[in-house]
Amino acid sequence: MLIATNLPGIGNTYLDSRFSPMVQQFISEARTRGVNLTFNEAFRPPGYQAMLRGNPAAITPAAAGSSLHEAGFAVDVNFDSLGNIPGGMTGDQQRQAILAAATAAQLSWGGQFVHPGPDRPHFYYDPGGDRQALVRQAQADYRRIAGRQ
Amino acid sequence: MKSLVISIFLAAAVYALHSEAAANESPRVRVTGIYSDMRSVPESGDILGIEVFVLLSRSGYQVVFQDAEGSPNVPTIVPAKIEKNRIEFDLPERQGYSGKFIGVITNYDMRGEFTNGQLSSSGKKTFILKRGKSYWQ
Repeated sequence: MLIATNLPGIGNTYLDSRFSPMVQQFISEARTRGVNLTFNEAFRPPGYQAMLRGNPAAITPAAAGSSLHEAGFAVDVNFDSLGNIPGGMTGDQQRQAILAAATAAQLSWGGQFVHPGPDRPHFYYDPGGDRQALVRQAQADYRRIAGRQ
Repeated sequence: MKSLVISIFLAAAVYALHSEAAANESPRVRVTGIYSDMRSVPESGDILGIEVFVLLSRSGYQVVFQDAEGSPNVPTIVPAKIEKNRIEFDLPERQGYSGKFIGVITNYDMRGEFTNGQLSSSGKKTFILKRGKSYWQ
């Protein structure tokens, strides 16, 4: 079930109720290792994935209805844009800390995607099952929650 | 064997000198244009990479810079310092890429690095931005 949450960098957003505690642990584990995570993306509401896909000149992003972002099971964080902090951690040290935090929170890393290449800011949990059914359920939850607000 | 090693060393030295000279000389390279390594990832639906649009204004060269780490960031416009085919610009502190970028422009691409340890979307220090169309075109 999709629930409302708040993430640093993007503010109010939504995640699946099974995934949200994992993300909170991810944040906490990263903080313990000296990194304050900044999020760029979490849940993608109806239409947004289709908009990203709407560029016919590009290699097509996930077809609408198939991305774990649309199901509330994926987040993107600042990763390769992390630079050296004067007197503090280097960019590489921060990236290592984030990967360790993700492992501790039992998240998978898009940096291990092979084709067409890694997606290094992407962290997710794949609950298995019918992906499109997951997406449909999350999008229906979103419409219900957003309709109430 | 020794002469082979010396030959390889000399060839490498000549190549390095030639590359340095190529970067320093003033080739007829049009520096304005769009340079991009922006791409999408079908599995996640994410968009990754950066785009640099170099253009001329009455205040000199400017760069329109956009980055994406999952979703596309709001573009920022900063002045660019261009000498021959070398480019340098400094992005303000913001969510995403920031700080100084130094690169070299050729007829085919812009290659350069951020000076503060930021990496390309493939995890490399050197960004190779192909000259051509924007991801959005």
